[in-house]
Amino acid sequence: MTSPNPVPPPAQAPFIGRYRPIFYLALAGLFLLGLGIRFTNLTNPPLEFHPTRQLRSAIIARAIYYQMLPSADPTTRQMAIQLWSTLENLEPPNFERLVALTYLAAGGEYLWIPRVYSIIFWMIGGLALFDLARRMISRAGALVTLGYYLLLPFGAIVSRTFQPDSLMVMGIILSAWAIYRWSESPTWRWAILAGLLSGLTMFIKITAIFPLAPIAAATVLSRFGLRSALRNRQVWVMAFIMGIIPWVYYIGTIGSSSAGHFEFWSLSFAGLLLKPRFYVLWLNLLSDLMSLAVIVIGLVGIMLFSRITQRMLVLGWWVGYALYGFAFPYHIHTHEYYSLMLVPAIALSLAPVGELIINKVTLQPRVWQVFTLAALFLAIAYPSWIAYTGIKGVNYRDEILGWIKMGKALPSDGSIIALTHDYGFRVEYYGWHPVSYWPTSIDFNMDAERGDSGSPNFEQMFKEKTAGKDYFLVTLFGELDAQPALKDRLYNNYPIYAQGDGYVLFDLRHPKNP
Amino acid sequence: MENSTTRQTPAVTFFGRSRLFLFLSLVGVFTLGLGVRLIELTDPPLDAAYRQLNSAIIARGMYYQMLTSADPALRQIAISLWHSADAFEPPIFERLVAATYLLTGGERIWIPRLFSILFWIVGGVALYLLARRMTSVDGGIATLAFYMVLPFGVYISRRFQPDPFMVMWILWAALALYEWEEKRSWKAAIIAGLVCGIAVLVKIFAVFFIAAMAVAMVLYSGRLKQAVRNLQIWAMAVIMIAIPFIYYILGIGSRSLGYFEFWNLSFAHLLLTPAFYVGWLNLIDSNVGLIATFIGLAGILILPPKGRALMISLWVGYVLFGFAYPWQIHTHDYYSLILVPLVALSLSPVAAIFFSKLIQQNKIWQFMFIGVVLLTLAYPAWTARVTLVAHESRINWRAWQKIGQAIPKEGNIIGLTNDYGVEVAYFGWRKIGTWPTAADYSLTYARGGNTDSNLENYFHQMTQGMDYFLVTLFGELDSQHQLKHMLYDNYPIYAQGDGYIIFDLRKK
Repeated sequence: MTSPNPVPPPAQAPFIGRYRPIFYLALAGLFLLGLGIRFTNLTNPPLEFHPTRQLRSAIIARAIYYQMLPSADPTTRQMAIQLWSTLENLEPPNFERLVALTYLAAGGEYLWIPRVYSIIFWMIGGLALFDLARRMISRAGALVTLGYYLLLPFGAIVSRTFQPDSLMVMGIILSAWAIYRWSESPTWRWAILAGLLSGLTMFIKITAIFPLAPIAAATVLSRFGLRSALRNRQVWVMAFIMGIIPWVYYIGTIGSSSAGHFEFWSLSFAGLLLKPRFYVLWLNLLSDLMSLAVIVIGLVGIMLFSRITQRMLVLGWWVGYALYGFAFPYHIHTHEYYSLMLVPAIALSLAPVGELIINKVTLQPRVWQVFTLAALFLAIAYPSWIAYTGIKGVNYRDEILGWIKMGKALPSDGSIIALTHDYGFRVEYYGWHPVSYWPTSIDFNMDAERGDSGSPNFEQMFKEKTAGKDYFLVTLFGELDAQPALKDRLYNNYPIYAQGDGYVLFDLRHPKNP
Repeated sequence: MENSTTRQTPAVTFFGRSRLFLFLSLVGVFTLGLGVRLIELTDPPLDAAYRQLNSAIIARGMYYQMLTSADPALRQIAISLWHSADAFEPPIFERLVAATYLLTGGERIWIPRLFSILFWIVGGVALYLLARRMTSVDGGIATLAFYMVLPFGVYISRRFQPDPFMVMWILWAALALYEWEEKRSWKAAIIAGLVCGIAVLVKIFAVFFIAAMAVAMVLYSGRLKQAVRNLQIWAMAVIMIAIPFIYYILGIGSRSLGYFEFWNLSFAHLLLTPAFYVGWLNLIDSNVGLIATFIGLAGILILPPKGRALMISLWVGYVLFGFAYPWQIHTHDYYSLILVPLVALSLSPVAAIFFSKLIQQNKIWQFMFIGVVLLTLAYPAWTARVTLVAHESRINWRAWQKIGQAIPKEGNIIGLTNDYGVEVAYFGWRKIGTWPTAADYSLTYARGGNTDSNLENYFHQMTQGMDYFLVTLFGELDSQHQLKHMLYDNYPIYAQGDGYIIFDLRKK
């Protein structure tokens, strides 16, 4: 099928015409800089950003690796798989499987491998985003888009972590690109590709549905109108492919778990939506991560896209992010990486603004253009430096030795409950010990946000949580101080079984006053 | 050169579609800016206490001097404290405040805050007029909005220090110079000379901006020879130089030189350290936002030539100012207060372009844009409000009043205390010597100086002739272990209470 309304390519800015070599240099420079920043401190253990999420993936990947490794010690394999089996199903372990396969190929479990993958995903996303911005606006505008996407310190830090978000963002960008290509030239090839990419992205992480559904709907409606869209078979096929792939996994396979997850994290926090504080905190977080000035400029940028399809596609992306925030109100204002999908949306929205400014500057005398280049250099250098020092300045290599040492000191003859870091994932990953988790004040606050009234009855909670447990491990001493009832109970009633640098282990089997 | 009578206002603008809409928009922005600044108006001025209380001590001295019914002993002390206070610039603002104390019948510490706010608002009028001339009504409104709601601007423009006053005069000076360049009349030249002179008089640092703008506007025509022969220019220069010259050179010449020597020359080596530039950029980022700054920098390049010349001169003035005072520019936020109007003005051409595109869109997009604008105004205003409410200082103020009452009335005092002892001077009506804090040691090191590593010698030297040692900074005392031991092990406690302890140095 040919396009009923062929779209002319956007006029190239005079900038490109005059400065083609500078353009290519800038393009290569941005990619190299983006890569360079991300490859800094590559082998640092993955504790720098949401270690809970990263270690969870590391535990899964390790289990898959040991499952596949024929030479693995059976006990170790058994323990690796047991640690995986205690984890909740959030999304299919595609990324983890890819990493495990690479471990197998590389001959060992190297935690920098998932970092490299995440970086590659982000860079591929960058290529697609650049092309999307180029097609929508111009090469000059696309450079601005790419600069923001690659050099934003928040993006640089998250896009090297072991979690599926970098992969998901790549998928969202590729899907948006394919949907846009289809809107430019509505052929079966593009319709199927757009459906496949969108479906696979949602399969990777179901939350991608929030930007992708509005992007697709807004593009289809603005391109064809409702009536024509309903009669268009390509639209139906695209929607079918898009829906069926995630449906098979999230509804067909882990349906009850998905429903439970949504019920817990979404519905039970819905009360937050009525509190002004929630919106202020959300904006605060966005301001810290991406700069509110840029967000506002991005919002204004939406209106500067010349064609309605472009404008609606980008608006759909923003609206999708907002809906996502409404659906997961607790996470959106507390977990930074929940806002990662907004980075390419903002970056894309900056393209027409960048284009506008660059075109104006290009009309100025040469001397002012040189000034612009100097300002641009500073604008690139500063966030790059911030991102670089942020990544370079943290080193967890010594810390993990402590966790490994502690893991060796823990008894293997009983079950452990722990007031410990990252829901017990550090003990589990580095210490090879499954532990149950005693809640911290963050968990109590979260319960309060959900509307659980009153503080929990300590006696009852202690009895329930420690039933069948043999040891109580503490590694969060500040938290123990913040829970005086627990501290008194442990120190006054149970002997210390072992203690060392950064931990104390109480023996629950032999209370002092039985 | 552009036609001097041409205004850059496009025929159709977003806010200029009707006079009523423009009027309402302007009133809305001014009201929001005023409203957010009036929050917690009577909160005591303990943020940046050194500068604020220093001014408060000067104003109180002047007030007691003028107050016929004042107790003579108290008047004497107030005047003596005023004379011993650091005078960095002529106390015009303090005199105005003292006169208002007299008029209103008492020393109300929120009065200077009200004046500062007023200065900022009046400066906003000049800023709007200037931005409108350089770009359009839309650019003017956007500039004004940034200037009014940026939280950093909100906090500093409430302080009892001459900076908001100086910024106001700089903005009017910029407008006057722009106007003069357009009209080239004697009247405009004299007004520009006067306003520029007053700006520099209010605070000498204004010279960086005024001089740069004046040179840019004089040379804008590109005819140096004609400029040299132009009597108007000479008259303008004489007026703008003579006013501050009388005070800063003839009045406090040696002090001005000493200040420059201490803060400028001795820190010049910082200019060669990358950490200085990163620190400066960090400070700009946290106060004004680097993104806005960079967009502003791009914005000035798309201004019409005259506006561009003016803006570049202002930016150059700011950079030179930073080079001249490298220590303060990367550690003292209010040294970058001028950046608020500077970035705001630089953003005006970018905003004007946005709006010119916007008015070509459908109504629905324009409404959506208004939503974005409201969010853009509401969020920083709300942030500023929350911060002002959260940093309420009344408890600290009462604590200092108590400490002030506990300070011995006789004998010499040295103190490891806040803000170089201005709190003690203000509340305790006592001038005291100050023991250096970690910040002072850092400052000394930054200047390349040395401190005596033998504490006993240093202590002996510092406490010679002193009767009491006051401590209100306990964190500082903990970090100076030797001093802590020396005081606790050797001297009896004369008095102690919530937040202070006084050692009796007379009884070792």
